[in-house]
Amino acid sequence: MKIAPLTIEQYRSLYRQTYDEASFFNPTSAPDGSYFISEQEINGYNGEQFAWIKDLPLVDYSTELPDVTPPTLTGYGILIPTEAETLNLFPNNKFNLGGYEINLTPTSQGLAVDLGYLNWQGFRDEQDKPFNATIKASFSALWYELLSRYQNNEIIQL
Amino acid sequence: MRGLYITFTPQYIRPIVITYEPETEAFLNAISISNDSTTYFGSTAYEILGSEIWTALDGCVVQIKTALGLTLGVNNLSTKFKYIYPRIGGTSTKHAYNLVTATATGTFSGGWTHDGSGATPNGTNAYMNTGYTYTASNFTVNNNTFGAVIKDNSEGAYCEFGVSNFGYTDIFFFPRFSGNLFLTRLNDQTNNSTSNSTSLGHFAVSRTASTSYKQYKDGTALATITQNSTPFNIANGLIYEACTNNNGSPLFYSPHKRTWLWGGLGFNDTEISDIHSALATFETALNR
Repeated sequence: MKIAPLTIEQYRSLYRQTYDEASFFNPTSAPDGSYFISEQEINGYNGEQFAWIKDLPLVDYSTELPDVTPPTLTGYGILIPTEAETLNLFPNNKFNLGGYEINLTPTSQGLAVDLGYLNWQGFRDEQDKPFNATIKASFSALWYELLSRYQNNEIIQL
Repeated sequence: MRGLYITFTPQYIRPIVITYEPETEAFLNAISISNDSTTYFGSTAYEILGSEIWTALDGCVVQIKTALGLTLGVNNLSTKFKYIYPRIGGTSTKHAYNLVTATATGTFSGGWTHDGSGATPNGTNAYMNTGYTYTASNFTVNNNTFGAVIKDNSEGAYCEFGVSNFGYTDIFFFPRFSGNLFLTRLNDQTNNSTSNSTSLGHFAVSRTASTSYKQYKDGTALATITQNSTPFNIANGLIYEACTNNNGSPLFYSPHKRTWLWGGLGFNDTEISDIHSALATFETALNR
């Protein structure tokens, strides 16, 4: 069956709203933590207020839980920018997104992230889920800075 | 040749007046099913005339009332039932109507498909709020029955209706739980089950005593469950269909197509058998 993943804002806008004369939307969370409505609700809606739901991408509903097994670490990494506002994002030198935990490495030059984490596809897929859109946006500047340092071969041994 | 001539005198011809049970009339008028040759669900396996629906439903209501000793011609189903959802009409609006009250006491949520064959939840986020709480204001401990007609066959943790909370007095109703079990709770806090290898059919549970209740399938008692009842204690717990209302959240969504859903006083074996016969006759008339 097909479902349409939602951001938290979309979830809240549909909550307790009707999609036909006698039926309410029921935005629900899937086992992987994402929010969604069903294809039946989208097809049953013919109004204007929530017409945007017709453009939502549909995916197969899955009950599989994400695999948060950490990646194999390389022993090499990229230094995290030392600006105070950046370091505040990593209390206890960790970052956890839906169970995907990244452990930063303290070095004499500052905190660094292992290349294994940067190539962690499961983490990047989790970032791309609609309900993590706000978090992804908050970290995009840092991500591009790290990507730039990697491309400039600013790699250190951890 | 002499023939036999019959002369009709008009004043001796009485028009045949068909009367319907008040609940039949109120319900079908409320869901706008006209008692004429209007065709419903045209070009489908469920194509039927409005007049045929009227005849079938009234026959069903008469059969039920007769089985329960109710006076015909009087609006009195409410003395035995809180809700009966026949799922006639093919839309969410019509399927939300309660035969007992002729009002839309049901509320659908999530992804349902409604058509002439009944109502089908998607098994992922679809349920119906019956509009009735599992409390003493609506039901009586040791004297209640709940039933559902299920049209799909699959095994799994699919709850057809219920209200529950760990440690509280529950209703659970899984016609074909994992392991081919008809698993239920009724006014108690313990799962009980009987072997059952299909979810197709008319299933019911009825408690008329404090020490046991019965499970039924297609009008026949499958088992007597020896389980003491406990007092109602889920505050304002609304009974949900196609899942259980577990402490305010739907749980164990069912994907099974269904037609009838009903709840009322405790009925005995004969009454449940007669109710089943009435529903089965109706389902046949509607090609469902």
